[in-house]
Amino acid sequence: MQPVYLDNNATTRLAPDALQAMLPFLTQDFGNPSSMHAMGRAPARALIGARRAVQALIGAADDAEIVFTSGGTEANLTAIRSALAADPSRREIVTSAVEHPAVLALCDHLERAEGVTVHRIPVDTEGRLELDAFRAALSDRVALVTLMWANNETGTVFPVEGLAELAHGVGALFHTDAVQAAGKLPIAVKGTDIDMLSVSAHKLHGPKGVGALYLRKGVPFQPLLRGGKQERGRRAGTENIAGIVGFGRAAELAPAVDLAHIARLRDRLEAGIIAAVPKVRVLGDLRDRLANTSCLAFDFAEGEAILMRLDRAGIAVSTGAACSSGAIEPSHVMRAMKVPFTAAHGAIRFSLSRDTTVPEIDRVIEALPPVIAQLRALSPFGAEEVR
Amino acid sequence: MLDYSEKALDHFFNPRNAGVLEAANAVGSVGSLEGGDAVRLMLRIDPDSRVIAEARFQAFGGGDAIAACSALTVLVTGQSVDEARRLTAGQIDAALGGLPGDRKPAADLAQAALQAALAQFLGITPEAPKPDPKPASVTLLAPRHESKPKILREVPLSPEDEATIIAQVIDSVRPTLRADGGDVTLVAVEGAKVRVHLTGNCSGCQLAALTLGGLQKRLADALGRPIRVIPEQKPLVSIAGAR
Repeated sequence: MQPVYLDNNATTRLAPDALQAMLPFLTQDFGNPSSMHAMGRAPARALIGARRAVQALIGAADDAEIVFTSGGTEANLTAIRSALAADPSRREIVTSAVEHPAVLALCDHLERAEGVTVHRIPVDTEGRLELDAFRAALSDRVALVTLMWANNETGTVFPVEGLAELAHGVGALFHTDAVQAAGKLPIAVKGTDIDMLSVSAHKLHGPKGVGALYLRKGVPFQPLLRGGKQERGRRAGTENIAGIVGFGRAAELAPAVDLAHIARLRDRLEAGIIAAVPKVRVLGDLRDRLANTSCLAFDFAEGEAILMRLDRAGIAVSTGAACSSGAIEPSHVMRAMKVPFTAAHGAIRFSLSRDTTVPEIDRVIEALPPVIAQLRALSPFGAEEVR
Repeated sequence: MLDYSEKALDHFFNPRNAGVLEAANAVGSVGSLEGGDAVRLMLRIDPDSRVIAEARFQAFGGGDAIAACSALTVLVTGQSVDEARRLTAGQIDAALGGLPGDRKPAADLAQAALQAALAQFLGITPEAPKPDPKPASVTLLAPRHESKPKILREVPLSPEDEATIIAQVIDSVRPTLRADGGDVTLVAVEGAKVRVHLTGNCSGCQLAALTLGGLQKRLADALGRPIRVIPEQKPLVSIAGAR
């Protein structure tokens, strides 16, 4: 039986169309787009097409605002470093406690090694940004506000357009990590206060190893990689043409995705599990979260054990936990949301895609309840509470 | 990708001796729900032959913890108390075909539960729980840790405030420890180091490490800065009654 893949926030299957679009650039059209001879023509044209496709994906005003990178992490890092370099008198960054490690680990480093002050704005128990704390952290010392558009673990959406306005109110630049949001909710940066935005191809059925940074026209910029004149001198290095072409094709396919259908499948999954399993909580902001994401926390069951048993049943999910120095700890997102300790170790993320089907969801609804019941029976806790 | 051996996977998917052992006369519990790993090991030891006739377990934790407990029950069944006391975490790990490097602590957890159960059987409870818990006394030997803390509090706490919080946190864990026949008292606070004295079932290195890990995390959370809990080296009260 085909495995049920519900870990699409980790990565997605490459769209067959994207693969087909890529193949010529790995075979006969191997030329360098910077070459002046004829072999450079096809890759150079493909690069223009892909750039326009990504421009359309995020609703940018101009295709020159798109800088291709090696992925979301490089885009995030470029944006943050560039903003700090833009105005040396501003040495503070405002971010949130629930950002992706691509942002948080860099902020930790900047704080430790380069004396940058970092404000990590907390979230409430539903994962929503604490707006009072956010406002309080803003000042004319802030170089950059960087906040994710949607959270990878819970799917909770931050109101980034409004937050960007507040950031501009104190003269700070605004960057958003939209790696989870792109392709899963409508994005139109044109006319907003968003200065920079990161996207990644492999989260929307493109290939791994390619992403893009949106850089609004007029925003001060310093490249991370200096060298050749690729990407208008904003990102040196010969372009990953096949990857960029695959990204472009994936971006073109994204608008056709029926997000409402994915949300219905997600809701069917949640309703089915809640009906069959006692003591389960849905984490995140239920009024405003990604259509494809469901983060469920099971009291008195441990996430890795759940994951392993689902894996054996042919169902791929992820846990809201990470192994750190021998102990499996709830993730920083679970901790920031103050998930009760009875459930913090039992968080499971289901992330759907356009490939997800009703029979697949029903297989999970059937397979999960006995897994939770078995693990709870093994546990020394909660025998009364969960009956 | 979790890289468990076939043996470990077999113990996880088909746990041996899982469940409650009603006839147990030695029970060892280590870990906590909060910490993400908790084990209760139940043994039925023949009082005459001192042989472990039966072993069962309950575990809350990842595949590593469940597999380690399962393997442990198989290893100790039929062993004498003295043999079981010499069982090492390394032997449990070996029985699982070697846990992945960062998952070795699960074998320590299982071994700690075994030691706790055996200690209960042998009556190693040197200090009876004190009836009236008073806040642990505090001596401040050094000023607040100077280097930049990892977690920043909005308003830094004064050393006095910190000492109060530390005493409160330690008091909050004492009832749990006492329930298991142990106790913890605060000895001193020196910057990021909090020295404590563990007694009863809490002492002995494997158990101590687990208890202290939980305490360390609570203190760090309460103070908003990294804390290292250091057990004072006082030997386990001798079973032979040496003075």
